[in-house]
Amino acid sequence: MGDVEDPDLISDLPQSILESILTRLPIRDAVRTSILSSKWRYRWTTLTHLVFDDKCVSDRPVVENCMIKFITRALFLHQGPIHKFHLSTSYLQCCPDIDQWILFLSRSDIKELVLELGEGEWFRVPSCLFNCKKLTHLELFRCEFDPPPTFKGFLYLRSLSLHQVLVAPEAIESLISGCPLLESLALSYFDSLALNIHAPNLKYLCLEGEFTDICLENTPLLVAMSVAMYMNDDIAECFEQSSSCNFIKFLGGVPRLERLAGHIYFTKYLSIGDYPGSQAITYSHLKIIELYQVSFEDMKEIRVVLRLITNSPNLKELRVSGLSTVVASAEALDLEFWSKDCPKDCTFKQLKVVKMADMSGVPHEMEFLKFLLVNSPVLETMSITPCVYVMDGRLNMLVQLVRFRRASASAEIIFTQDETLCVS
Amino acid sequence: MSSSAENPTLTTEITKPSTEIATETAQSAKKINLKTSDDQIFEVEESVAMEFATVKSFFEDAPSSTDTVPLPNVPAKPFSQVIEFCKEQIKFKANPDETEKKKSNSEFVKEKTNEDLVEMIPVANYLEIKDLLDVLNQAVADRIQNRSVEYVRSFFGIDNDFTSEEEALLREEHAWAFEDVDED
Repeated sequence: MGDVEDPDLISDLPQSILESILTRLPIRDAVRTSILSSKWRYRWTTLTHLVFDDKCVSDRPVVENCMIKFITRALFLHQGPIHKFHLSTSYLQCCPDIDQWILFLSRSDIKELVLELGEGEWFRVPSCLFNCKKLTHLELFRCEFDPPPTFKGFLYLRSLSLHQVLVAPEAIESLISGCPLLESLALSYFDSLALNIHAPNLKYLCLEGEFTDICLENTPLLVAMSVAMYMNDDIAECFEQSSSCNFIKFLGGVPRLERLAGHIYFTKYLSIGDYPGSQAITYSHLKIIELYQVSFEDMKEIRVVLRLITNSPNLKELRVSGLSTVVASAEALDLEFWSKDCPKDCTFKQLKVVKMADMSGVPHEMEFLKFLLVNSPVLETMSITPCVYVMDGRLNMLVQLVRFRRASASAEIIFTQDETLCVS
Repeated sequence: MSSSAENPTLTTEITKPSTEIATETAQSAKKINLKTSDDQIFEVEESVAMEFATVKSFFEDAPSSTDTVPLPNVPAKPFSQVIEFCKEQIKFKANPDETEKKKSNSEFVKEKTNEDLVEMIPVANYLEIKDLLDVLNQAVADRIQNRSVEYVRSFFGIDNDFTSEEEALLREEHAWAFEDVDED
């Protein structure tokens, strides 16, 4: 290469082609194309997608200043609308320059904004962010904000992700309900929050944190949700005092749900309050249920699991894990539940895959497995992974499993032993 | 001067593929003749030719046309590689498999020289083959990433029309974007 005769096939192509190449380059390389030739001098400056990350600068003592300088210069040289601005860097924390950038972006029709700054001092979101009226996608990490009183919502916002945010509970609720088109919401919040979600177009919900109460007030279109609930003393107290039924508050108005994943204390949370047996809700779209860290020592949690699966006629896949921390007691109360109160004539007509993890072999667990096997005529696989602390009980689990009747002749049972642990 | 695009020596040297070709023509679809800027005629299966939006609209405007379609902006060498790409793509149309498609795309790109890639871009643009443009643009971006200005110029065959004083000044103004470029 480097022949003088090489024809230039690229420089005169339409801007859309060159833009598509430049957008695929790290911004630093895109900026450097200014020096290629006069035709390229301002090519990059009209890019509508700007992504800044740690690769913009090299790691060195004054890296923070380099980063600030880089972004400020790039924004000053830029011309025209900026639709997407991503900043993910471990080098920057809260600093006044970021406020300036956001002010600049709020005047350039920004649609997609992602801000992820380094650990350390939390970033305080400047109020001009709330003037970005055309936002469709907003993602913030480790920050605190307080919408100005004049803020009426983001009318076009479809996706909102707030990771470890510090906001007044009322502000979060009004922010969510102020985004009428919102389809996807991810929120992680670690400060005892009671949350009512009002989002008529919401399809995807991901919650993580310390919640005292969650009420899905108006989310009729919800398709998938994943919830991880942590416990603290406040929450434990709230749980004790609560009288209303959490199951109904959470799952009472989501008829289109297809996928549900609950982590940590989620099942416990759902088990609180008295479930009005009269109102059976059917989840006819629910295909995948995942419930982790379910306590099989707690009848109320077992009832939650059973209520969910027996009311989901199209369930295809079920994943459940037990509480690996609990030392299993061989004796269990209420064992007669399985012969008396347990739903009798239910069949899981679609259930093909069951995955059970962290099983300790306590009687209620075994009864649950027995119940699934006898009622799942099309089951293909049931895999069982015992809890790592349970060594002696494994054989006993297997002996019981072998005896269970199976409705599906082709069901394969896979008992997974962690080999590294067994050897020792 | 007509030539069989894929293998001009087909009839004289290779016997086995020729039977394959024969059965293919016997059962299969209409062929379309496409003439490149350097006057080579490519006989291409209709399904492949319809991947080229430009050719497709030619036939939509003149459905009964049986003539050879001229492609005045398309030289034969990159065109034969574009045809190779589109033949692969068609397989995934009938049987979509994203992972396999990605694999096949990256195989396609891997064995091409820098020059091949750069020559194909205007062709893919002229024929409006969006998938190929995406693949090429990504491949080109991957190859010029973190490279010096001189490298990128010669990669694309760009004439530097700046005087050395102008270039020095520009480099100074953009010094903030010039740390740690890879050696050529």
